[in-house]
Amino acid sequence: MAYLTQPDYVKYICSCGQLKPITSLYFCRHCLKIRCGFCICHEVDSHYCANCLENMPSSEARLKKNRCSSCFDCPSCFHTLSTRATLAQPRQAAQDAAAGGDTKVENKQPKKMYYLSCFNCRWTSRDVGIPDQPVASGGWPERTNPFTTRMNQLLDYYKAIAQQEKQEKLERERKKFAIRGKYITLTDKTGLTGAMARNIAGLPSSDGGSSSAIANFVASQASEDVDELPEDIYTKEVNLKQITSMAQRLASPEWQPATVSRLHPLAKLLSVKRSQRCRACDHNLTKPEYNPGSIKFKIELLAYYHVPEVKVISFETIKPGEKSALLIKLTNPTGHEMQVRLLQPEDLPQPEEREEPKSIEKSLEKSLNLEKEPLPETVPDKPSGVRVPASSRVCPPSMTLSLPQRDDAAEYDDDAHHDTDDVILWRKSNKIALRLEVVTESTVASGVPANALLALEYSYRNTVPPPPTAGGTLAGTTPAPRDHTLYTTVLLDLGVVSG
Amino acid sequence: MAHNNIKILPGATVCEDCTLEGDITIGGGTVIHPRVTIIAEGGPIIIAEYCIIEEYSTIIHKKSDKQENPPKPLFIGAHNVFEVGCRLEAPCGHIGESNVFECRSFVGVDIKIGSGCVIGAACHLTAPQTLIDNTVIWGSEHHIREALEKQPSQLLQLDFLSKVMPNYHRLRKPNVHKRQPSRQSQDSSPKP
Amino acid sequence: MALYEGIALIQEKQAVVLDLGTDYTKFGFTGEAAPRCIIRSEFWCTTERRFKRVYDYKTEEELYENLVHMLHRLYFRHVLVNPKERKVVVVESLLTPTLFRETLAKVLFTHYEVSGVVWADSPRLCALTLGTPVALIVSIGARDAEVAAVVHASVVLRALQSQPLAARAIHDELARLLDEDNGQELHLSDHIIEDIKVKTCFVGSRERAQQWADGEQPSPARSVQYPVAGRTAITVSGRTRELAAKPLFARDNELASLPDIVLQCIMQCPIDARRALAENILVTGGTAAMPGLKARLAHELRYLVTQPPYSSRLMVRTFKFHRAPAHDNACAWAGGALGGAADAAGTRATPRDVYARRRRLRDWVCLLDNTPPDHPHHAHQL
Repeated sequence: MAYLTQPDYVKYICSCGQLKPITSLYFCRHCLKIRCGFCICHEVDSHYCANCLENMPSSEARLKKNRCSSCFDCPSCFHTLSTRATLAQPRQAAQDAAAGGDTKVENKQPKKMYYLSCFNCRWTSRDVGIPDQPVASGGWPERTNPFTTRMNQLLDYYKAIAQQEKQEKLERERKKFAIRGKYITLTDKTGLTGAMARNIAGLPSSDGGSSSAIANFVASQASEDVDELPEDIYTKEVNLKQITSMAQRLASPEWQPATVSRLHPLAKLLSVKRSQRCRACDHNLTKPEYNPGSIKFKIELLAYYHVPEVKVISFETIKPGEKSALLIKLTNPTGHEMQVRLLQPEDLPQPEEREEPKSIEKSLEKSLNLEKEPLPETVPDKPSGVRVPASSRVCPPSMTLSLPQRDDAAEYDDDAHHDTDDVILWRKSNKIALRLEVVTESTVASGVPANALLALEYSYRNTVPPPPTAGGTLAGTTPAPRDHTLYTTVLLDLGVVSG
Repeated sequence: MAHNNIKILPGATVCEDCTLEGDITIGGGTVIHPRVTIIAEGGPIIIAEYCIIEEYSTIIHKKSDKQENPPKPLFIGAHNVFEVGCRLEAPCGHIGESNVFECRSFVGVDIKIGSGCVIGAACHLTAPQTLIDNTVIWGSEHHIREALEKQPSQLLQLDFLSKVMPNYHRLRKPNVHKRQPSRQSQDSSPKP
Repeated sequence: MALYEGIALIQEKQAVVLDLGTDYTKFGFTGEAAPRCIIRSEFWCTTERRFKRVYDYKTEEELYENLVHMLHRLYFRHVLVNPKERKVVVVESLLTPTLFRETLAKVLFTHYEVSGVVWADSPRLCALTLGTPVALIVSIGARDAEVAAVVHASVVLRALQSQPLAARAIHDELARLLDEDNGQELHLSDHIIEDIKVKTCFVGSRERAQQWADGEQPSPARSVQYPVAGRTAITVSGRTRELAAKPLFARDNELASLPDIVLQCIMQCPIDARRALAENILVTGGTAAMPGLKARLAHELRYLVTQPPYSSRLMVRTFKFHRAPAHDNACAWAGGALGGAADAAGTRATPRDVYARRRRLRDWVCLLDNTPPDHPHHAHQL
């Protein structure tokens, strides 16, 4: 179990070589391998606002630039803003008096007006002069990026050039003009566009009719003046509270306000629910429920539910060249009985060679890269388990331990099995505590972190129906569960080697 | 202890279960929750009207060497809110109005506080400084900004507290009688 | 044809533009006017329990892991799209270390399985935001100031200048001056130094800098009391405010100050491009946003060009400056957004399968890439 505040004492070696606590590991039931966040594929599942828990279809999210339309963040401290209501005094009273007496009666009632306020830094939308709104959500003034117009001009221009270049290329191919000028080739390879270079260099474009976007384009005009310092910079008192910090500026990349008076509420960035997929077999490892308020999963293949969990109960201080006792606890989280055997890490059978690549494209990659370094496709470049330095060795007992299935009702029985012996300290329900010995080499320097590798061989009953090709897929037939023998290696953190 | 001189003006709601030592004056309309500590060791403390002092907050008028004689009182203006667990150590004799001392905030000795300031949750102000009016301090890095207007007063909350408190806590009775006060003094119009 | 184009545009997922700077990372979609996010180039490292900077790496493996975490943060926390099957425009300096480029390519292609990557250098992208044929790009970032001449969409590589005259130099100088002001070693964190710089510092005029250097005391700007959590306020004197950016303009015998490298860049360019370059200068990069920096640079250039060694060798006397349609710190990014959107078909991208077959990137330093195709050298290849 990973601890919230403590370091992870027990780390599992993922099939990609990463060391992770069991709570951040996944277990692919199709490959029967441990996977971790590093070697699986993350996918965006659905967009939602973390504040109002409103789902937003991804097309709408794209349109709204991944921002919620009703929730805002404080531009000053980035806390969520709250909408506050006030009763506005009818400010038009004077106008109404001028207009006539009829409307007066109506306007006498105070109107509910809303403004945004931050409970953390007490920023309010009134601070920057945003008028109060008559509706509680939405309706806040939107700003446009000052550079949008110019950027769009540029965009049209470059798109036209790209288009023209494409046509030229097609024409050239049609005419079988293989001779290409050196100049064009060079720029084509390194520069943006050959056509653009040609256009710029004043050469006539190959087809006379260049589009209006190119013809009407005006390049940026340079001027001799630059932004001089304001006159009063040497005399003006600096009010630090009026100047925004870097974080406040960068929170709105479009405007980057330099003074506090220009801070505007930031529409809240949406969050995503992610589903995770095994890279080797493309099956989902986790898939969240669609409802943003739910924290449950439709698919949840966590190692915590499938792999025996190892916990360190206690251990004697590790000393060089000595044996020390180590108490660990094993837990079987599955619904089936599990046979567990402890091994030395080097006794593990070599895992079968690289997993089958999933597509032709990848097999192509593989065949083309045989002589090169292994593709980090499923195994990103990570230290493999062999390279984990272990200061000590665990002496595993040569016996197979049987762990009963998890049974929530058994929590309430307290007739612990008393088949304790030298190794088994106690047994309770699906848990077993073991007393092991740790041997430390005498060459280990004192003061270095002590750790030991322990390999586990465990039986795993796979209840997933075999893939459809393997046999009858009729719904009525319940496929026989298949038993597998799986291996995993854990690294135990045993404190520090003492002198 | 002998010179304890607690003056509670009519309209104030002061729970019995709090530590009040020294010469303390509590203005009308002020609500003092249980477990509050107010120690006037360096001089009298005067708390004006309509303050809320929440649980476990501590206000100390510290003794100091350069004390004038007679000692200057620590005057805490009206409409101040001291949230749960905050601590105020006699900053220079005067605190303005409508300040908010958020939960677990700390204000040390050499700090002058104007009006309408907010000391954010868990902000520890120790270095000598002056907070001008409407300063807001928040966050572990003590970000500072200037609010446009004073913090809104908590009259609704005060009203509620002074109604509810007597139902659940023993109260100290107002002992300064300008006129015959009712025990619970809901007609909180404390014109001294 | 046009119809097909339209469909292709719809089907092609909008590419993302990544500008992974030393201090700040700019990330967003092509075709948009501003990046979606500008965040510090750092991520929460769970094993070390601290924020770790992407550029803090000793080995390739460490860099690989840093980049994976950083991109994860960018894709899933800020831009919220699937990295898979989407093109990326990478904005990079021409002087990016090969190790960094290659590791980034590996991360993008193999870890995130992006469909293609356009490697684009920042000077040319900055020039794209202007639309002028010739531009001199002075980019002052976090670590280095780079001066590159872009002449008709190609960079004059032999005139490329780079000096460590950027935000770091200013921060170091500012820290030193603050220690002086307060008479003690303050050991302020980088964030505070940066904040002091952003809020108080500016670049004083040339004349005043000269006066300071000569030991005269021009009446300094107002000093500022900068409050810091848990300690006494720091005094930032007017002199400090004004002189923090001094290292950028400090000249010595090596002639390696900011205006010097600009002039040297112009000088090393072809003679017929020099005047055009001097009249099309774009000063960009986050540090360029410092108040007064552009003005100071302009004045220094106009003065220095009349002094030896430039007066005899450089005949330009007018310097003109552009304003890019983007904020200084996102100028290269904006160029990437333009270039990436114009090139919607992705003809310039390195596709994933090509990378998978041949795991190398084009690079201008490599003879394989900068030799013309009809050069006899190619006959010996293969």
